[in-house]
Amino acid sequence: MSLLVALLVALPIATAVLTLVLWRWPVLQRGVAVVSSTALTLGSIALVLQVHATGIQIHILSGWPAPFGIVLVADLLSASLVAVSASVFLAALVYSLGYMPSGTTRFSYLPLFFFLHMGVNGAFLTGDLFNLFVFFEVMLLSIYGLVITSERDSLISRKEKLEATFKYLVLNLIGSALMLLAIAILYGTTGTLNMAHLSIRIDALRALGATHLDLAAFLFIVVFGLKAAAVPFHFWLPDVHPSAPTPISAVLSGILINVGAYGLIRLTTLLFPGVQVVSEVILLVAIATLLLGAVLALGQLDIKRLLAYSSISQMGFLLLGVGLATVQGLAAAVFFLINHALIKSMLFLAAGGIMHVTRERSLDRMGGLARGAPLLALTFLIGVLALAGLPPVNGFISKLLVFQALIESGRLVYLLLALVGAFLGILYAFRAWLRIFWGRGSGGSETSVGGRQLAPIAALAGLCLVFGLLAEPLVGLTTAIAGQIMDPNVYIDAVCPLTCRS
Amino acid sequence: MVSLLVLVIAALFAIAAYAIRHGNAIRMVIGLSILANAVNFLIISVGFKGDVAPFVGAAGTPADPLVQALILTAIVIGLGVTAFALGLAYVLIREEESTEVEDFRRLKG
Repeated sequence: MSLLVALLVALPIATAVLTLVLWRWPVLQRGVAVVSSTALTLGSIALVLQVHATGIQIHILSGWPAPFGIVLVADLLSASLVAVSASVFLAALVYSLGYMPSGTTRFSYLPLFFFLHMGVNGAFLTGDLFNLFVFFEVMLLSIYGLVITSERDSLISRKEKLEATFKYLVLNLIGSALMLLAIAILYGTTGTLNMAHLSIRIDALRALGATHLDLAAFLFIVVFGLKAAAVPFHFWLPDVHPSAPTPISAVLSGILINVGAYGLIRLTTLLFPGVQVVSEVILLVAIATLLLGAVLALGQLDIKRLLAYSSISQMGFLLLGVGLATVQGLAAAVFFLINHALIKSMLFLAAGGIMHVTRERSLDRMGGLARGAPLLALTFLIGVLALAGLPPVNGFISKLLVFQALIESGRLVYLLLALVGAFLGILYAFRAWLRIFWGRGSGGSETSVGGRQLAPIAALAGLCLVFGLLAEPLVGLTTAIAGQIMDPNVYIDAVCPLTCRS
Repeated sequence: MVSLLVLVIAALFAIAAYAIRHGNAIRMVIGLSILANAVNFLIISVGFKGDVAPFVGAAGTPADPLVQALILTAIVIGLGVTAFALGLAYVLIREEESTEVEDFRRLKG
């Protein structure tokens, strides 16, 4: 029983309500937001340490033990993802305070920002399938509102934001309906919604030959694949992520697609562990995502769209690890997940800075920015190195781990295709950097970018370097995570050892 | 009772698919709302283990009360999302001066 787990969901709701009430006092409102976001970051890191030291923490809501009531479960995977998300949220919040016009932050932006935070934390921590659906909806509703918020530089037209949001909304409403359908299939057959309990009963029913449960597994691949922008459900991402205000782009590309990947990890390790066909489908989807994202990123001229397509490609690498369903594969996937969150959110924030300096979105009309904006050039270079998978940054280690896992499982065709994708990654990443910072161009000076924008970029870039040079502890953590989730019994015993097994 | 429900669910799914495919922004939102309700009916039908009102000590097999709690939640969420979707469609249609999604061509995706 851990109160910390519940606080990580309760504090964002409380902050959202408080920022809504405090709209008259903007300074106080911003202070509350920053203090709360910092507390969430520190609290989630404390939770990782607690889980690491004493095992899986659970919190039983309203006194009904599992499997009857809803439980919040923090295993190493959930706790680490909450910690990474909270850090990215903090960086995005600090950036927003220097970037978003105060008129919009006062009324809708800050409350929605914390509702989104609550949805993400809840989705990672909940141990109940229907509750996961509810947190998804909280997340999505906040995103719709945040994407259409107008920003200071207004390089993105209102029409574009509205169209992107409408597209996202329609797709996600269909996704929600499919998710409910899958939940209905599982509940109708097993009579439970608790994920630990489901794991036991699905396993037992499949052993008896109940193949229709696999239908639910495929529906979940569609639902989570839509969230993770896996091919063929990737086409919304390059519209929605660039249309959002810069800090929200960072949150979307850094965290929100991770929620989909997290769902797929839970699906393959907890609900349907060891089901060959599910893993094979994920592998195929992964390799298609990886290659298509990289090829399309090569052709982009819009800086934010290029980063969005690269997110799709990077998700492919991550899903390869998930699809392998081995300890090495999952460890690589989780390592990739954590580091891609840092890399991509940093790159989107830096892209926002670049767009602010040049007043341009198109790579064609940029150039020669290295002189005027040395800090942006350096941080963007770190991000580009990470996307390309070159040392000494974290992106190198994450790709290395994925390749290693592929070799150890003997998947040489996939390895070859992934290497092609990685090569394309080098091309599109450096093409962007060269176009923006080298050559001739109007240039511009980064002095107009405030410290509140540069500080989060520099902090995230620093983390990318640290996890690249001193990767050993993080690799140790992700290996421990993979070991813990590979055996569903660890999760089941922590959530409901007695009632579920009887 | 269940076979009647199955017919209703099938009809609702068909109507929803037709409306979403139609390409008119408002019809799309209506279709999505119908789709959500089709799924709600489906979840309710899952809980039809008996037709006695559910409480402890009922005579006969009671219906499953949990699915009813689930769709109450789903209905509330659906209401909020549909309200937002209609508002968004309204603003979008005014901005684009067209109701057909075919004309929303700014994003190629």
